[in-house]
Amino acid sequence: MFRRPSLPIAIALCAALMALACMPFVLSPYAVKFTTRVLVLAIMVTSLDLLIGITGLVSFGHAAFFALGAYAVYFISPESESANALLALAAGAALGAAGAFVIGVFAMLTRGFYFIMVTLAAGQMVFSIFYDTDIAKGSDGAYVNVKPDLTIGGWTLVDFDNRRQFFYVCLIMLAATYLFLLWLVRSRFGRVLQGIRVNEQRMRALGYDTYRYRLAVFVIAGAIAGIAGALFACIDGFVTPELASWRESGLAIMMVVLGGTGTLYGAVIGTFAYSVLEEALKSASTVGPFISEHWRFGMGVALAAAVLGAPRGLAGLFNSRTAAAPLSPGGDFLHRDLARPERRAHALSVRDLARHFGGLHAVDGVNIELEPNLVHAIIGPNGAGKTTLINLLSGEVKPSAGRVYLDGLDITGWPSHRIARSGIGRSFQRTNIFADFSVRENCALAAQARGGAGAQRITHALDVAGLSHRAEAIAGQLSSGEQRQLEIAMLIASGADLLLLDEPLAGMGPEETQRVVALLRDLARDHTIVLIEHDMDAVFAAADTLTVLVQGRLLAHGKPADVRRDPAVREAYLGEEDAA
Amino acid sequence: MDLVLIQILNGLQYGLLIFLAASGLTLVFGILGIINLSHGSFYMLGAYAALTLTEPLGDVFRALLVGIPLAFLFGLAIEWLFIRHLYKRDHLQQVLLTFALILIFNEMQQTIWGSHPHSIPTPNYLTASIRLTDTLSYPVYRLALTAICLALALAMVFVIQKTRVGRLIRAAESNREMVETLGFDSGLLFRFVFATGVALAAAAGIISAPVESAYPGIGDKVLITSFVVVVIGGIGSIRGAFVGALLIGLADAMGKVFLPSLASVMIYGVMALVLVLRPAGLFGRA
Amino acid sequence: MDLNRRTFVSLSGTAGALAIGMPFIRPSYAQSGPLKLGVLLPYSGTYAPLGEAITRAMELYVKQQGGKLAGRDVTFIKLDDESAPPKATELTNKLVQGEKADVIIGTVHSGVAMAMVKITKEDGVPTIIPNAGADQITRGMCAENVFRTSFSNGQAGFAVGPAMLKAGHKKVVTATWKYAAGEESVAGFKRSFTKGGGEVIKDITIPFPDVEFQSVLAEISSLKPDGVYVFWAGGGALKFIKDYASALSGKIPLWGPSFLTDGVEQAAGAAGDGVKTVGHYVESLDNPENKAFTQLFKDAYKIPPDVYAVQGWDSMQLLDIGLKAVGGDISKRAQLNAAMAKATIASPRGPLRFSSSHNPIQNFYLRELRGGVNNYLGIVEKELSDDTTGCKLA
Repeated sequence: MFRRPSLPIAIALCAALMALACMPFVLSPYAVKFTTRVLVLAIMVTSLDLLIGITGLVSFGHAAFFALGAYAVYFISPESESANALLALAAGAALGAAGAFVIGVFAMLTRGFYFIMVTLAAGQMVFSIFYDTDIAKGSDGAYVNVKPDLTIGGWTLVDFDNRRQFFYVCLIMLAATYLFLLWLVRSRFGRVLQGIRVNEQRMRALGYDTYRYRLAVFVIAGAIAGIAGALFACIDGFVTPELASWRESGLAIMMVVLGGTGTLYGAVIGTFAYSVLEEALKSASTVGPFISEHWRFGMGVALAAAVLGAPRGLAGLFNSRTAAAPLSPGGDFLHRDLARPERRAHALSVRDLARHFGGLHAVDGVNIELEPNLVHAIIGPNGAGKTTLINLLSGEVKPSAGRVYLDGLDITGWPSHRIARSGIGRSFQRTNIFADFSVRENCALAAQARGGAGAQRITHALDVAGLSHRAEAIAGQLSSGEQRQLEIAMLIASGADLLLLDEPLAGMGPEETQRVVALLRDLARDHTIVLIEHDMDAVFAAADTLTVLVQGRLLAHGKPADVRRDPAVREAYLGEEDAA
Repeated sequence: MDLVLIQILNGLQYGLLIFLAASGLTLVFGILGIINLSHGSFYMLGAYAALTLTEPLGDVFRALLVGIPLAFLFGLAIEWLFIRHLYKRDHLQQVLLTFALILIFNEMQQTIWGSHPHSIPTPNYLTASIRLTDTLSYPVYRLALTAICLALALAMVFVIQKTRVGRLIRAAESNREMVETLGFDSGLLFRFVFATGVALAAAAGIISAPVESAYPGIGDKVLITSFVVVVIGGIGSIRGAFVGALLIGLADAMGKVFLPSLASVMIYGVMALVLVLRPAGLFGRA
Repeated sequence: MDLNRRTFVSLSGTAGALAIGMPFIRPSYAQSGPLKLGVLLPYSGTYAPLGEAITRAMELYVKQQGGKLAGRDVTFIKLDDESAPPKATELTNKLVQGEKADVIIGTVHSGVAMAMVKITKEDGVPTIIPNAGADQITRGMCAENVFRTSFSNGQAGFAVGPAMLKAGHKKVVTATWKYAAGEESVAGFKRSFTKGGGEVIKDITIPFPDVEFQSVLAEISSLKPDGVYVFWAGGGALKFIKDYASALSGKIPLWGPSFLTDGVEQAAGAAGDGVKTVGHYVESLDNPENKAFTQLFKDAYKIPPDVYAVQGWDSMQLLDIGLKAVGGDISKRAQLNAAMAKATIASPRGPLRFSSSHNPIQNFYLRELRGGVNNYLGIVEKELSDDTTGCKLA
């Protein structure tokens, strides 16, 4: 989750701010103008980080709102008088926000790759509208003849035409944007946004109308980009449709990623790094005519090197703490576990189990032995009947035929709560925790659900799940991996020792996956685990046995290495694809 | 009425050309999970390759025969040098790296071929025109171009639907991890698919060179249009790319004549419409 | 450890802030150093050949003068404007303020030129436009320090009207890119054409710089006009000529201002035969200046000069006149501007002088492309001046 910048970084940011504030007195007018432009871009790019890094919305059309803001200044500026500066900024914000709202209403219906493409197309539409129609002078661009100023009672307080004054306006706007976003991200609203990035499904399950949150943040970012655009229009008094083009949007993404996503200040660093590098490579008098003629090549190589060499962005280079944080808990429980005694857990035995929905044989005569103290993984293509099988085992669904034995006891047809009390706990595809409760309270709630609230059992559960050090943290603020751990802790606290986990790794990053896999391996010491999982790397890392279901039938069951080599699995799996 | 028929012809030709570029893009998305912004550059490099190869080889079709394997090898190299590092990275990093590739390819083009627009000769035996109306003739080469695109499209559908490799590609598109689990070398498959995508884009660039000529930045429009086609058709779906490309080709051709000021908005409008009705594209899985 | 990192991060923050300033720290030249000519031209994209021709002629002129203008060494600072208006302000700023250029010369694309002039007009740096024809630059936006050695779009279009009427074309379709240069050209053409009794049936536009002309051709063929007036230039012009020939096979005469065939005569091949253009230069013009210039250019670059080279050449002639008047002291801007405004130049194109708004007053010639050469068919308009509507310079 989002952290306030660490002290050294805050100091560095302040130092940079100070250095920037001195610039108009030190540098040539051109350098000041250049820096002004970078400051304005940085405002836009920071607002994009709010979407990309904080909310997880990769917008490829952000420049459209920037352009709308710039055109807003053109629209409100009288032919040969200056417009009111505040009005100009407000108009930029309004048009940017309005554009973001109209586009967002549609774009928020989509996710992932489609969202990227829809925003890209939306940006291109804005570009085309300005480029091909005459609403603002078409493809040649439009001029703001007199730049806005702020005149109250005959006194001109701020004149955007004055380069130095305007520089400070932009610097203050950037600082204000950063601080505003810092506050916003750390507010309740901001926590929801981050929740959406981490796992939108869960946020919805928890009752958040994520569509509205996403739309809201899209509009906020659009308004900020609009303000930046309005400022941009005031630099040279010239706006063109190309401001909205996909290349500009791409550049903004570039700057966010280069700086490091999700830090806000990284966006500023990225903007400066990119702009300064480009400027330096293009300046024949600094690097010589050969390099300046081939600046694109230098830029391309530098970017490629940055991606491959610093995947966390430039901010990641400074921010070693964030890099290390998610890994440490993974190491934690490897130590502690040695103290815990091994204990035989429950075993399940499935005989000719079947479940038909109308003509569909969701599970069709399955026989498996799920031996105790092992991790059993069930895999298979979508629609293979994996979840139905889990539902049959947990009593959620009644079998059409066949039997299920828990340590030899026939539990076929038992209601789900009775099965749960016998020691079988299950999780669902979506994480179900209580976000506003602390970790310990969540476990207490789980223990309570099965009667008795032994503090010792809760402590034990937290310990086993590797969450003791986070016991007082608010569950909603845990990372998605930690929340999965919490879910498992809740099952343990409830007294279950046979765990049915439906996609415990869904939506996790590589580090979190690694951590939860380690937890599962460790749990097998005194639990039996049955899981459905799509992440094959994780399955091979975690599972002792592999069960392959295809169209409700058991295709193979055995050690992962054997199943992998099974020709029937390969053939049948590919055959299944033929039918699709 | 003549105008409509002629524009249908133009739209089909443009659509088929875009299909070649978009089909490579959709495979690379669907199977490798890579957002490849540099795909348009391969089209551009194809056009310039046509420029370089047509002269020594005699005509553009021979350039095509030589160019496709060259592009395939080039694709293998690019995958090995850059793309393979991206499979485990998120979309953002892919965007960043492939954007960097655009800059590098553009510079390569500038250095090797310079910034002049170049025209590539139409083969002598195809310079004729077919008379359509009393004033308008349709160049034979464009018809040949349409035929070649169609042939390549059919060949691709055949490979994908009927061959072992095609089956593997379809399996990987539907569930990449499962294919890996089954012990296939996904690295090799990915490299093959990427290089095929590059070869297809380059092929489109080569055969279109006599009508489009070769000039810097020629790949940009192709890239954006291909993206639109991929989204309309549904990611990873060759069939979708085919239908999407024809749809876009016709919408563009009709738009240019009947709604000239909105022609460029038109294709995005089509895309928005499709996404509202079918969020995963015409042939995509939700 | 923590303290070390803190110091490191703070230091690198400050260093980063300093690095921002780095590209701007460079030695400043004394006034007596070489004259810095800031050149903003397209070296990539569809207009790249034009930028190159202009640059070659300018460099040739300076070389021919022994590397000096008015006794001062000359250095060119060249920037590629990519014909992209959004970059124009940034690049002009870079030349004017960053590189401290003494004179600005540019550019080809009208939109870029407008943005450029906006800045140089405010700054006051002497500016010479070797091609871009945006009407406004020598109308409403005219300035003491801004000169043009090429044409204005309206002027060049205006000259075609009478020639087409004379050839007997009464019903005409126009086609161009939808951008200022194209629209101004068509507007100029229509002014003289409709005044003379002609009728324009339809104006077709496509987005700049699209070169897929099939829909345009289909539409022209369905309208069946007497003649077609088009404004295209560079690579787009070449492609249009070829596509036009194969689609309409010579049935409808193709006309345009000279940009249509300049620089693409050879490449157009047989497809270009019969294309008629009106322009302010023909390669075969019979005057001593043209012969000398053509020979010089051929010797240097192995190819004959085109109209863009002539415009680049005349830009340097104009600057030379101005510089000589102030003895090479570029700081005397007012005298420099005044001298340039009064200049009369013996150009390869014929006599050249300037209107009150600093737009060329020049002859326009009728040409026909045949066998890869623009053939001279006579003068259409003698000493044609563009109107100076909105310009307050006297």
